[in-house]
Amino acid sequence: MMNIFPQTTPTLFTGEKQWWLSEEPAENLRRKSSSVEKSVITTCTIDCGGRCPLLVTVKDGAITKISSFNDGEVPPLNACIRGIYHHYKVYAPDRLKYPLIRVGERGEGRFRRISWDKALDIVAREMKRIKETYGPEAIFECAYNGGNGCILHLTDWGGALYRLLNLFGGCTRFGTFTSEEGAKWASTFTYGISDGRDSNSWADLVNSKLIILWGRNVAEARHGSGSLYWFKLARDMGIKIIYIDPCCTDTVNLLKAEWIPIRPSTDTAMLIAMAYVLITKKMYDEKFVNRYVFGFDQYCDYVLGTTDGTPKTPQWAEEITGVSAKTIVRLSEEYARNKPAALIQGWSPGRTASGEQYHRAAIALQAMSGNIGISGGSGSCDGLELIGVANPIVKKWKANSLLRFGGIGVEIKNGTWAEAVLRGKEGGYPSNIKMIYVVGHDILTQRQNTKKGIDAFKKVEFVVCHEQFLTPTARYADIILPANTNFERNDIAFPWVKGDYAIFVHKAIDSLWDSKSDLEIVNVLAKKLGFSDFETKSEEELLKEFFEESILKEHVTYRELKRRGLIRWKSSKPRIAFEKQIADPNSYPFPTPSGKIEIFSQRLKQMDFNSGHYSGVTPDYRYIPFIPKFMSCEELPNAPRAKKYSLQLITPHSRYRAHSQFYNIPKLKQLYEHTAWIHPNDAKNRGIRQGDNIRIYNDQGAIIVQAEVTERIMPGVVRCYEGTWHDPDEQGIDRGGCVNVLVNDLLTSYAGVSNFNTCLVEIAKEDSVQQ
Amino acid sequence: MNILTEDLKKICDYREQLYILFSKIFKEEVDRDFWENLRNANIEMDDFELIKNIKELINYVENAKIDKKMIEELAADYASLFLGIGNHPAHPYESVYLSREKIAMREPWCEVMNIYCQEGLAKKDSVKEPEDHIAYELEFMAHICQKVVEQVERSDNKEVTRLLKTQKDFLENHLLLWLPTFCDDVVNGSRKLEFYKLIAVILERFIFLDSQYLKRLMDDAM
Repeated sequence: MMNIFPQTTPTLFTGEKQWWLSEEPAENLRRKSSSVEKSVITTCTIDCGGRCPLLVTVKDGAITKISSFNDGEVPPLNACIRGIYHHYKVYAPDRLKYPLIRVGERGEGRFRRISWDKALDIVAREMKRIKETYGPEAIFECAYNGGNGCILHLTDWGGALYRLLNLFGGCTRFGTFTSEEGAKWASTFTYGISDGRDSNSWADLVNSKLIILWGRNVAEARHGSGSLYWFKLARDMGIKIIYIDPCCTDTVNLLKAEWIPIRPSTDTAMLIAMAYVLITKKMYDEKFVNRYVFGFDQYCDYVLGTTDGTPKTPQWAEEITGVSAKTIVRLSEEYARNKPAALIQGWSPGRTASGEQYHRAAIALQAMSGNIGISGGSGSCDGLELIGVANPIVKKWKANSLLRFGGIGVEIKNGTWAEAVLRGKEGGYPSNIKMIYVVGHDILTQRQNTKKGIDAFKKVEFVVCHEQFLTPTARYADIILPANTNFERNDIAFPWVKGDYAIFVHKAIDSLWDSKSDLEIVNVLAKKLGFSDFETKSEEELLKEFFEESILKEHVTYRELKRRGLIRWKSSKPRIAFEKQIADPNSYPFPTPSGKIEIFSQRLKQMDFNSGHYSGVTPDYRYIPFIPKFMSCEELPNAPRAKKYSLQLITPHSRYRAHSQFYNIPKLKQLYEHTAWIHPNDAKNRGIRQGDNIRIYNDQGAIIVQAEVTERIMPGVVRCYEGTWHDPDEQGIDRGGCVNVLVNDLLTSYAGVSNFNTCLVEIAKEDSVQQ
Repeated sequence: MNILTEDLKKICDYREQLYILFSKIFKEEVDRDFWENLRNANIEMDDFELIKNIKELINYVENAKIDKKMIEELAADYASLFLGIGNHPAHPYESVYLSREKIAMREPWCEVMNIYCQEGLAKKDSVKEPEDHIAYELEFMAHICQKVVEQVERSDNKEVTRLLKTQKDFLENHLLLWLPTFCDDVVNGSRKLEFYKLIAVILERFIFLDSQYLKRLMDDAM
């Protein structure tokens, strides 16, 4: 017999043997190997507005299947493909498994494993050093929506790190929202409310005679698990639906809608021209305006051109928007004649330079047509009804704070975070940032100007990051701490846009590998920082406590929610925003200085910009006009820059990702190509054919994607989904096709609105570009 | 043929050591002690290809300046390859290679758990890795080698045969089905240092030879 082994047995291994398997008594083995199958109801707590009840099957301690949980009620809360495939993310082999410490240069992507104890010692040591040397505001809490729409394991304002940093002496943190800042700003300064209750329930859509979906692609970005049901119902009832968007998206087909193409970032001009038609044709609701609206006269002066000599006629708007004057007149008349009509604003036209003006102009038009506070009408679209009020922590920290999001420290705008890091106090920002503490936030992918963001990360002294994957942002960390997923912890979740229900997030499995929840991580860190009693309560105790302090308890009990998993609460009729204010204005004035809907914002006018306010966000409000105005900028087609970069880029959300989340999951990636939509005329002019690799570029950088030549987009516009991870090659060209490489951070508006859809670019066939 | 010989005992003892050695390499990052251990290890195998590769490894180990920097780079290579964070990782889980879903903790993971269980073995609670990690599978082979040695001493021919068959089956139904691809991935993914590349080449050959050995042993025993 052949024998490859030596006849002697030399010693190979002299170290201590370290066994991973051990002999176990039969009883233990039985217990360990009992393949009990169980099912739990839970949901995702990722950064998407819906919350779909999921039925998760667990066997041998591992998730084997995820399906949509259907309780038979209306509207059905059907889970999307991300939810159903969520286990591909949970068990992805590239999940971060252990704490890591950087080896080599920051951003190089080389790390080695380190123990939790050592990792958190380093974090605590650096936090103390930086606070002592530069003050607490040198620490930037770069936490965002990795976990949200839940009451305990949220990663942004109110999360564990937020609480710890407030105790630690404060920090620099975000003072604006990213997606909905424009909508929120408009509701705050026009209606006087910021609690998100500014729109009618979807169930009320069926009472409209006309529905205008403005930049709201409900087929692809449902924005709420149950929302599409109501839109389809309205369609089936024969209600006319008009869809305004640069692209003929799936919504047009699905809802049999009429498509009106419009140039990106110009919606405000069209809304103002519609106001012009209503005013000049005397089609506005005079009674409503007199009774409920403040500042109509000033608005008329602007719209008619009395103040600036430019009447905002449909012809004026046609030049800017690309929508014909005829269409604008026709749509205005249709809107005014078909009452009640719902003007459903999307957030995306508000994610533009001066995007808050779009939401304000839309509210103004609804007010002029008397469509507010009535069944079948509309209001606005901040719509975050539960997210803010469900979180009692922020409320508590807001009590004695002048900051918008409560607590201690200073606030900066989301969109110009990198400027704030790079330029600091000398550049007019409120702090000199020396350390970035990232939690659940791929900021390099998701904020304008990725390259500037990288420079910001390179500049600071220390970076720590809680993540599930090595995102482009996590690559720039010095210490990475592996966070677990929503299936590995208990929580209570709710849809952060519309939907009257809550879901108990039942922990389905134990934390995988050596990951921990952000709460557990921060807890250990707190102890190392000397806060021995930071959190002494268990997860369940905390959950109960937070629940009791949240508004959810008005609708359900903790015990019942935990037992049943999904609980809906129903009102006898759809909720109408501002119903009371309209029905009985004397008893229920709008919470604005005038008590009315303020097209002219008195609140803005009354702000004292010289008084001591602590947010670094608000001083810029002084540059915002008191009435909604169309404000042009350097990245629109009529600007000089358009000579060099003649196309407008828009960056919508993909159904296969929740922003950057799920991008790295092959199971989902194989379902799509990362393409850019280009109109055949634009393609032909540049010799581009369907499927070609193309370079989209401007002064800021370049990305490579595939061309999708289609008439579903209007000429002059390029559409490329956001959320793909930045992946630069040696020349710095982004092969990952991350759109924020191209978007200019300095167009962040005075109100703090991020301009993801205001961006000029040029495109070229990739192999024709000189290397 | 009676396989209860001193030879078998010696060989299984040697095989156990080899499996422990390989298992150890995938369990954790290389430290200075282990490097010294490797420097002094006297790996002998009667196979031309393997001898060549082992020589290369020994040369590498002897010539490498094992300082803090080197240990750190080895640890970074380990993380890049086996903790899944590099651009070209080699995920050390059978389930990632053999499950339909290509993710961790699927059917192959359940299968190996059951096999361990049948041999009275289970994962220690302190270990954070799922049971189909390459280090467990190699360690499992070592455990069985140990049992063979014990049973040879007890002269339990039947049990020895059963254990050897268990090993052969485990190799054929599990390790051999994914380890070669895994080792290729290690070779392709090793960018900075040569160490894991050399290990992968040796391991792949060793597993093949060991399965041949077991096959012949079983054939002869029949």
